[in-house]
Amino acid sequence: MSDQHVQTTTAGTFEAFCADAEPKLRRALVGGFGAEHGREAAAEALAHGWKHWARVAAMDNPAGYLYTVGARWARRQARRRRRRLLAGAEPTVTWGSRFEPGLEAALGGLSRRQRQAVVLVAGFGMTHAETADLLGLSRSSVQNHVERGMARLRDDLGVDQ
Amino acid sequence: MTLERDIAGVIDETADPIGVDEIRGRAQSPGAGGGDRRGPAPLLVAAAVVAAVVAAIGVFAWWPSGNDTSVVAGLPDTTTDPASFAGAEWEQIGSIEGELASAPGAEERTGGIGALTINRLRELPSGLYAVGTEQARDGGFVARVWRAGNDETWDRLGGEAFGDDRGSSRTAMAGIAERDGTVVAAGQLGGPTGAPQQTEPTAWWSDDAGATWHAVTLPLSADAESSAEAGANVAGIAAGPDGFVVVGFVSDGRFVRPAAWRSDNGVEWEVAPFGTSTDRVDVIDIEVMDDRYVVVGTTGAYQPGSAAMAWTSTDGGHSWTPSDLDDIASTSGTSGITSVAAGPDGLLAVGYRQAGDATSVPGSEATASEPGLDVDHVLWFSPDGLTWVERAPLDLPGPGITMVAAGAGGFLLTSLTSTDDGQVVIDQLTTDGTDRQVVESPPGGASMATTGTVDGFVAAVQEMGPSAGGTTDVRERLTTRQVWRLEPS
Repeated sequence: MSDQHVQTTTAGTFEAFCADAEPKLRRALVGGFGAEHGREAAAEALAHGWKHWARVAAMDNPAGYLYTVGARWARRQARRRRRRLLAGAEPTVTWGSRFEPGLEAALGGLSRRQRQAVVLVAGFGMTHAETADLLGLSRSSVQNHVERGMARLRDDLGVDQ
Repeated sequence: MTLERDIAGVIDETADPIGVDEIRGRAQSPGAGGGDRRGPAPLLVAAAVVAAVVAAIGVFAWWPSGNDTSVVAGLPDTTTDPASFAGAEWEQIGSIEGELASAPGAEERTGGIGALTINRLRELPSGLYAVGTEQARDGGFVARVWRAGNDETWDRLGGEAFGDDRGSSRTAMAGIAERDGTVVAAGQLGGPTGAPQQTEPTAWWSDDAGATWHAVTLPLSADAESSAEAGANVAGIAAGPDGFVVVGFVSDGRFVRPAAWRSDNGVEWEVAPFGTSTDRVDVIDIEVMDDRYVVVGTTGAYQPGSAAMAWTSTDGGHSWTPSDLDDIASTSGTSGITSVAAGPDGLLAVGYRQAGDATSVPGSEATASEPGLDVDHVLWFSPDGLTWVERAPLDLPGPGITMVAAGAGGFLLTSLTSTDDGQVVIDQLTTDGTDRQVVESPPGGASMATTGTVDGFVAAVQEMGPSAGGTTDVRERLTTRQVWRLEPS
């Protein structure tokens, strides 16, 4: 059976999967790789999932697989961007956030894993197990990243909670 | 909960939800499906729309400054700073367990039965894979592929596609790569132990993320095919924009010559022109840098004048351009390469140079036991595989550095052996191969089997030492390999 045929007959299945997985993938990848590359990476990963849905649907952890696809795409784009930045001017646009002052810089000071764990667990209430499955980490690693990340955020921002 | 709410708000305000229609449109555009494409970003119009939306809400500061890890613009780019690994921690990401030693009747076996050799660790779109061999009851080796699960477990893949549990002394695995949803492992299968020493270069492919595998014997050239003693060794595999390329050696019973094979899909393979019928080249490995395939090796059979070389192809292995790494060929000395890795800024090759007529290769027992030999450990860096420059020499005791891996913080150089106090010599270099610093080895010491990259960070497979796993059981040490990831603190 071709992937194309499966796309037609199981479109509803993909849409159900997408409804659950899209926010997780987008938030994990934006948290890890920033707005531009993160959202694009999530869209690319989901497009990959749609294109190969027969194979992806049969996997134990399709969202975790697509996260890996997206993360790899984002890293490639980041490398290209870095070369462009080395060759030319870097945009200097300031943050226009209405949120906690200094939050964006503080988030940027975390390691990528810490930032993703903080975003998914603290920000969006995903469980340690869900986050571990998505990011390919152990639960204990997720817990460590959340605790260390939140402690550093609070310290950097000077907030108690 | 204000801080948590703000974190969520920042993320969701930064990037709009992705609808199914957008996904369908992206998937149906040429070259989409995204994760396995190496070309420029697709759907420039869509990207522009996204950028415009992002710009409209003023969140460009979330753009990473461009390295593997995300760094907010305006903040120090710590990912290329050697100091970023100063407080790095090794995180264990599971163990690979042998199966033959724990099989029924294994308690009656002796020696190294079930001993694991991990030859390559690769992060691919469909998962983190390791390839290697396990020692069988008759002392030979059985080809193995493992994939990491999400709970620090490693699963052996492949079943009968990799043969039964009867080993061969010449079976070995060289590498694994993925392209367009197809994973391909490469190696060579030997005949039964005790049989004539022939080998078949083999590719194993899977189009379902490693669930099922199919073996394909790679074709031999007409010259080699005509010899009853023909055989081949596989050194490496890479996947790039123009397909898969496998490199190695072919023997016709009298001469050993460099060889390459190529495939558009991992299923159908053809001999690729590489070297000439008279070349003697020890091919070490193949990497892909941007859209270019880069093979490294040593010419001259380690005789005086043997030299480190690279070959590049921009057409998927149909044609190759040689590059000298060294001018040693004009002297009576020798030079060679032991390992290569592709990082974000270029390739780093690790090798050696010897003056005079000494021909021992660093890492061999002869060199390690004869400190009087004048061996220089050499690093070559190339931004493109075509032009190479030598970096500052390494001043190391003993056999020296023999493996290089590329990660988010740069390259990691690793010795295959440990020092007297059980520490593995590990150095980290920046992504351009210049500044370096010593990195603490994973807990427990013991020897390192191989290094690779996991999620952008350097990882290592380590033999389980007494202080690493708390075991002094020889069999357990032989049949368990710990996998570690180095993550900046």
